[in-house]
Amino acid sequence: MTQAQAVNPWNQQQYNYGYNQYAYYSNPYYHQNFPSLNGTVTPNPQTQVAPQQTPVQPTTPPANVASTHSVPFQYANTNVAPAYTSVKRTQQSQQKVTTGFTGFQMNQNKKKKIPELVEEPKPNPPADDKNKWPDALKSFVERAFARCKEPAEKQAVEVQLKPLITGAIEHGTLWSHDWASQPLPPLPPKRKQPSFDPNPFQNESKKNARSSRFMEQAHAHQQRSRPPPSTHQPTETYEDRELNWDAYTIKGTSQQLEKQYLRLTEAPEPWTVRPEPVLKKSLEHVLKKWEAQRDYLFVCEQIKSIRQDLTVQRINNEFTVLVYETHGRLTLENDDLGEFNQCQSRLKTLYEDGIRGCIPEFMAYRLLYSIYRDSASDIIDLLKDLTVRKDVKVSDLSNVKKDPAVVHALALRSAINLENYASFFKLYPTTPNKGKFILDKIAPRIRLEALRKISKSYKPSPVPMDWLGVQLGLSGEPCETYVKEHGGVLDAKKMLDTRQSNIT
Amino acid sequence: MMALFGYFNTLSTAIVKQDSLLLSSLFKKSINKLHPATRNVDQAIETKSLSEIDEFCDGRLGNKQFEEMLAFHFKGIICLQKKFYSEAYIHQANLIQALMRYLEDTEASGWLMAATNTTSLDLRVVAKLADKEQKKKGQKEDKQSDAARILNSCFSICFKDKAPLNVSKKWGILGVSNQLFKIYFSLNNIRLGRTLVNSVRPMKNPSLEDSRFPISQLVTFKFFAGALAMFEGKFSLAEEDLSYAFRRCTFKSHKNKRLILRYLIPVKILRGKMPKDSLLKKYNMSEFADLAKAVQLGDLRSFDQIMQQHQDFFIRSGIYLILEKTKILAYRNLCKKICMISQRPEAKNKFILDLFQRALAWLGVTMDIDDIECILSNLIFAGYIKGYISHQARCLVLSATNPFPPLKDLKI
Repeated sequence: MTQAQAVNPWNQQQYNYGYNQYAYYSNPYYHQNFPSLNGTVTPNPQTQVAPQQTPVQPTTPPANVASTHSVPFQYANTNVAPAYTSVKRTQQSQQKVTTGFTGFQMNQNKKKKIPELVEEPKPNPPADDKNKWPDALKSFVERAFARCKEPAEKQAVEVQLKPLITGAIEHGTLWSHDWASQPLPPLPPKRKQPSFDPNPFQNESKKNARSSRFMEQAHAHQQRSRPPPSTHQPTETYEDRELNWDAYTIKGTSQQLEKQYLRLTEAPEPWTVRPEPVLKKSLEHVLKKWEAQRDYLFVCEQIKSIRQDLTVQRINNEFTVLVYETHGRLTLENDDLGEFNQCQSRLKTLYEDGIRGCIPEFMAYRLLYSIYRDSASDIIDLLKDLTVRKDVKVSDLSNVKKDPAVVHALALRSAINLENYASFFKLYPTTPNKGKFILDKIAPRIRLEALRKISKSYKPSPVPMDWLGVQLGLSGEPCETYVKEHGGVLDAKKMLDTRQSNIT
Repeated sequence: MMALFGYFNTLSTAIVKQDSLLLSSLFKKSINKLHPATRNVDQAIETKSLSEIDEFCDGRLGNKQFEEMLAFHFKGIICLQKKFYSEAYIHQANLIQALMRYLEDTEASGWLMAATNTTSLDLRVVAKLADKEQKKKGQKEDKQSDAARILNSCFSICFKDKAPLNVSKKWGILGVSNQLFKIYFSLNNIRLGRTLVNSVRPMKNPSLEDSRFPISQLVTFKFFAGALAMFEGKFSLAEEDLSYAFRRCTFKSHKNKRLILRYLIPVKILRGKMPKDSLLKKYNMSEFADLAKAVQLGDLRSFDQIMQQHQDFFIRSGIYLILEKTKILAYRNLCKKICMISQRPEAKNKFILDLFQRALAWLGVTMDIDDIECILSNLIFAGYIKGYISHQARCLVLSATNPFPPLKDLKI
């Protein structure tokens, strides 16, 4: 039996388990011994000791486990707490029940009364007087559980009752204690499960709290242009976990045209949020101010607050696209590429939802931006969007591909990939829309590379400046200064002397 | 139930004997259950409801921490059967975190590495299913990034283990990092794997190529490291890793070999080593055959045609950009041919640029002299051609000795 064949989790074949256990253990990697390549099975001294782990039970069926390991409550010979066991059990008992195993000590675990569990060999001590409970205790427990409505509450109560009762058993006070006057354990507050997400079953209480809070807000402020949101309770069953968000969406009431941008830390008040018609007017107003004063910081802030109002009201339509596109173009003009990236990624998701807009223009920007960031994965993604992906609902995809902006951007991409500086600087002046602002950022790198290459490969006669200028995308004076800055040496006739230049 | 009894029994045995393989096959969620004890466990468990599981598992194994893990495992099975993938993910995440807590607390827990491997595999698979479900519902897909976060902490637990090698957790490193890589690939964010490769590659004790790591994991790791290097442009490193992976990958996994070749062939072509026809035929990769031939002949027309024809395949595999770069090699080979053909005895090494323009026009590619000069200057700068361009005379002057050095001598 070769090692490769023994267990190979990546080999999807069913391993025919005639259960040759020696083959099973022969893979040295998995062997607990210090791996010996001959694959022999030698006993690990550690298994015999096994001290540092938590007390491990012997491998025989765990029949002799102490009572502390067994299930919390010994309901043997009692009918305690039928309220919650029987509700569940009727559902379970309708399932098919396997027969057999009557020989085991199944009578020990009467707590759950699950037919299939009854046949399990539960680790319980044999039935004796110890498991009988006083009636007062039984009624105490019954009362404790009767208050509980949810499984989580019952668990918590159980957790509190268990030490109480087992402590009484150990100290021998089980029968002597006055259970009738024992105070009932308090119900726990609604708690989250200690795992990642809140238990889906308990979400409902939080949502009810939230929806009531929204309702209060809506009632508290009288100026309302729309009827209050519906009191639709999100129903969440185990089967259907669709949430209805409409009940929680804010509908704004403010009429301000200008609004300072503040980062939100919680749900905003409706009177601070502007509804869509107001936002349209606000955008117009802001753009007029931009034309007049050219104050980018102010305009950027205003548009961000417009975007924020659109987001909290979950407005995703052509107006939203218009806002983001306008902002995108403004950021390009003003050298704010970080903000531009936010706009264009949001636009990408909006376009994918099928909303119309200037898709080719922004597709081109997106491509140029990915080239600027030198991220091959983004470029591949974009190529995929343009050619391969069929599931995306972008409207008019076939026309997008033929659009001159996109064609130009693709040609640029190709030129840059092949390091073709001549094509780059030829395509540079004819960049449509605002793409030039992104290319301005890419150009210096390419220009320097070009100068370096020309300097190395053109000999022996000097290179004329005007031709060089065309190659570098500069002309006249700026070209000379650029060349000199980077270590180029010009001869008497103002031509680049490549032999003496040392471009850095 | 008989099945459950047998299952619990086998599980306790596995824990006592520290048999990792057994434990891992018992905690497995994938369809192919290897161990006979796990048969029918699914049917036995599915009749229960979630809240019963905790009590149900209590006291079964005699080991609280494993019982906790068992409870999460069962809950996960129930959710998977009902196809609630997001919930199943939560339980699987809890399972692996409980396992990680046990690993951290216990000193010599290296025997659990196979179980760690299985649970991380399941975590990744369930995270992917959960993300698909969330996407359908229009929610944000965050389960896979969450899984990546968990696996990262698992990786650091295994990596920082100071125990002696025979009980060390370090043997689990490759398994966990492979799962992480797969998540990153699926999230289209491969460069996150850079830190992973940077920490694993210089490992000394045990070293990466240690024969005690299972070869399958090593091959997978090398594959991912090579792919990462390729996307970052480090082609020599990529070639090294991918060749190793291809060589050591067993001939039985034809599909895996094909995947490795998909990245290895472009890298090799870029370095000038063309694939043999027999290889391409064996692995059914005819697209590369035509492309390699076009590059070798310098046939620009068919190069463009092939790129256009197989564009979908190349873009989907993510190798389009690299294959485009092989066009430079095609230019080099074309120049070599032109120079060899049009050598004149009186001016042995001088070639007017007009020649190139005519040759390209014949191939159906229209370029003006500036473009041609640019291409040639690129080739000279990169070292493919030894010579210089004279701008005034508008010609290319080659060096007398070895103007087109063989590609294997070049450093790319």
